[in-house]
Amino acid sequence: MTLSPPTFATGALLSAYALNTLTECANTIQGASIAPTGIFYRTGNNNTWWMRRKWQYLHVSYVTSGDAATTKIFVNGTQVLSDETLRPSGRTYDIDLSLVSGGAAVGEFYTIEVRYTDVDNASTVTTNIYESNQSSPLLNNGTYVSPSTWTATATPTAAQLNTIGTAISYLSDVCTSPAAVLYRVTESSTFMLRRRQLYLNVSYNAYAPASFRILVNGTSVSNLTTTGEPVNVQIDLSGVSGGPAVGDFYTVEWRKQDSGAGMLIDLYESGSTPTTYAPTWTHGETLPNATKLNTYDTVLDAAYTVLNTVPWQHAITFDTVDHPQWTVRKTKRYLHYIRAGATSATLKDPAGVYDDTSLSTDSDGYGSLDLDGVDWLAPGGTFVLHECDTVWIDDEA
Amino acid sequence: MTISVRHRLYVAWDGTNYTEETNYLISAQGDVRYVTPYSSLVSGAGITDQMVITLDNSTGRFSPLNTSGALYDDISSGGMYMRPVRLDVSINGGTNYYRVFTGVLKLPGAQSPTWQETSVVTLDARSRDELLLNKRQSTTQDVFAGDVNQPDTEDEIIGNYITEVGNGFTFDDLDLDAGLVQIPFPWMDDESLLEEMWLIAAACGGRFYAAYDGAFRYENMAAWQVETRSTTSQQTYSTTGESSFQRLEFRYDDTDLYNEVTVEAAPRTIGAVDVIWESESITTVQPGQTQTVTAKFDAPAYSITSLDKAARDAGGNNVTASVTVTPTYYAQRATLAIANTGTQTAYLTKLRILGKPVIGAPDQESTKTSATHGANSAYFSGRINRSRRVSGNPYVQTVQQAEMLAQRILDLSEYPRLQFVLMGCTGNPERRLGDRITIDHTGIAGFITSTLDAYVIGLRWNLDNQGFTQDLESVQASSVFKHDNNYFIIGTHALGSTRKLFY
Repeated sequence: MTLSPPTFATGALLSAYALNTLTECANTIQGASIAPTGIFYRTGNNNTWWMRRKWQYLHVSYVTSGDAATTKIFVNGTQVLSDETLRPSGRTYDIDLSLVSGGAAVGEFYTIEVRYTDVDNASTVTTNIYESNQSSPLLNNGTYVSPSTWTATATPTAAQLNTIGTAISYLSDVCTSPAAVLYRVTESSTFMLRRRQLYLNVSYNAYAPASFRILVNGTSVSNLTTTGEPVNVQIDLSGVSGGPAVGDFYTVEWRKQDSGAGMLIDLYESGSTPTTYAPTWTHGETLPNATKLNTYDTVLDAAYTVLNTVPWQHAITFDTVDHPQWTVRKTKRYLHYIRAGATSATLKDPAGVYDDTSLSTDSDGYGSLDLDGVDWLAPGGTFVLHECDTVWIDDEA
Repeated sequence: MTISVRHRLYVAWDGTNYTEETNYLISAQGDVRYVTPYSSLVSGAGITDQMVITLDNSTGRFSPLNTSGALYDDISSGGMYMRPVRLDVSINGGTNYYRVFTGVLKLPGAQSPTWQETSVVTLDARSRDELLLNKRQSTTQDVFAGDVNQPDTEDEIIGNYITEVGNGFTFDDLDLDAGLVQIPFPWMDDESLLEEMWLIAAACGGRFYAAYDGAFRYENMAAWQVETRSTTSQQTYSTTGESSFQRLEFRYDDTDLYNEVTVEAAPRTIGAVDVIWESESITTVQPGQTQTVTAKFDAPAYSITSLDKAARDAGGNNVTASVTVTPTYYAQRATLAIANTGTQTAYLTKLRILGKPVIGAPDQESTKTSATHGANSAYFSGRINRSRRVSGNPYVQTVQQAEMLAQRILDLSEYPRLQFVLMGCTGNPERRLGDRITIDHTGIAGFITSTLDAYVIGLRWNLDNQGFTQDLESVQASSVFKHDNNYFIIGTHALGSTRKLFY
């Protein structure tokens, strides 16, 4: 997402158009800050993930413990790591995608495979895979500086006004929201999310004898024997002991504790919609009142708290089981998917009211769909995918 | 007080080196005016500026058919065409000269001597924007993509277009106000450079022209509320005294009187990879030959993904490997140099370009009315409603931009405007279009009760042995900006004041 705030100059007239351009940028960032967060499916098995490259660096986190294990990472089939050292405390391996032979250019899809070999009484798990624009998760993308604020009778300088644009530019990359796709599971599984909002909502179908526990960062937050289609649980993340702060990565474990069947069908964050938004301006308005002008600081600081400093996106698991199902929110326009099996993939209305949409593919099994063409699917609406080997949603076709 | 008028005339007959021709100047007349003072918001046209000079040709110096003339080598065979010319005038005996015209010559007309008159040559000259008028230009695809990735404001786009390699201009030729509007998708496709500058300026409420000093000037929408020449009266013209005029005319102008203004916008976005051009005919290239094809796209291309080709010979055999296509990509076209290195005639059965087009159409608009967004709806009550529609400017690309323009045009249009013509003024070579002047007719009662400020929108001048005189056209300042001289200036005014926000 490219935002281009205007530049103010000393001696120039302060214009409604320039301020409204700032407003459009600030409110875009605010909207992005409440976009669904990314969901990474963890597994200890050899597994492949799919991603469309946006940023330069890929970070793969894994834990290996026990007697022996070699961790190998492949990007588009090119091995980029072979690590024979056990990493019981975990390790994040950082990959510069621009240096990977046969890797992906920005905008291209690519695969990441994590393979554990020479496993001898070892425990392995791929804990997180995500892209960012920083070579290390430890690095920040510069320092965010809050926009200026003014007192009621201050004289705004161009430099002060330009701090709004600087903050916007700083956040423009960060507010590119990740592809929020849930891989539906039927067995106990752990997901890695990054907190943006207050509540975590978990929905699962549970059939007797049902007993399902939900853990956030290892802390049990729900333990129900309720059956239902679905069972809905909402967790106040601020109240979880050891829970994540806004902006932190955290784990959500959906644990099946009995022989009954179940399926995790939804996992998403929610919160109250921000009530403060950047204002609009009109020609001839008596200018300005400091309260109105100071709203930019309020809006952008709030967004920064959520978005942090580094843009990122999670990889999506690929070809993990037969007959996979997915839950996706239409927060972006285009659905990309791969289906290589005999049964066609379909897009379904979760309420079952509207007809399925059959998803076609090319000879390589790749396909894409303009979600604006699905009449019943409103912006932000939920849809379900069956049989896609992997999926991605994007603002770009 | 006696006014001592002097002048200096220079012409670069060889295109580079100026020669002073002051002593040969018999007379000069100039006419400079905004191409209707408000239409830049609609048409983008800046100003027209022309000069006619009459030179004493009694020595045959300026005769292009006089083989013994001193300038013959430079002016024969139409050599005067587009040669630089400039005229300075001083009204204080030469202490200060002021430029009144910088431009280029058109072709001359000559008059032979008679028993009553000496031989003269009359030269018509135009301002330097004449140099841009017939120059057509296309934006290269990589430049277009760069502009899309990092949008520029209108001044940056104008500067980049004019100084493009090969045009012969540098940033020293420019005098650009800071831009007010970012234009997300700017491109040219074999279009007149000057007309495109006008369109860009119009899309942002500004004005583009070649100024009196020869610079390519972009005035942004705020220029008349920022520059001292326009915010502070430069001269009071009255019925008596040094700055007097012989006659004053005024009229209310209803040419641009509207109480509803609609501005159309053409938002654009980057589309998915698609076929952006495909040859509809079979191109034939003989062995060893190169054929150049111009591929015109329906829409500009943000990126080029691939160029596909297939060729066969007359026998139907595949000769694709013998054909190389060297493309030069522009935003909305490509030139394809197709070379056949084989020994058989190649028939290109497939020739297409894939890429990401920029898609969009003028499908949004903003409408502003006096009743809702203006201040003079009462005037139109009981009179006919008048609507203006501004469409077809490809540089109006966002609804916000259209809203800004619609409000601006409505504010300009909802009052009948007062225009003044000051005839026979004592000439002042410092006077420029856009200058704020004060008109004082109070010396003669019963016509205009009080003084008023106006912007100069047209200047006709005459320089001859009688002196230097001007006729000034002007428009009342308060009808051009709703909050004239009361806008909020960054770094100057305080919050909570009564200063107003500009458009």
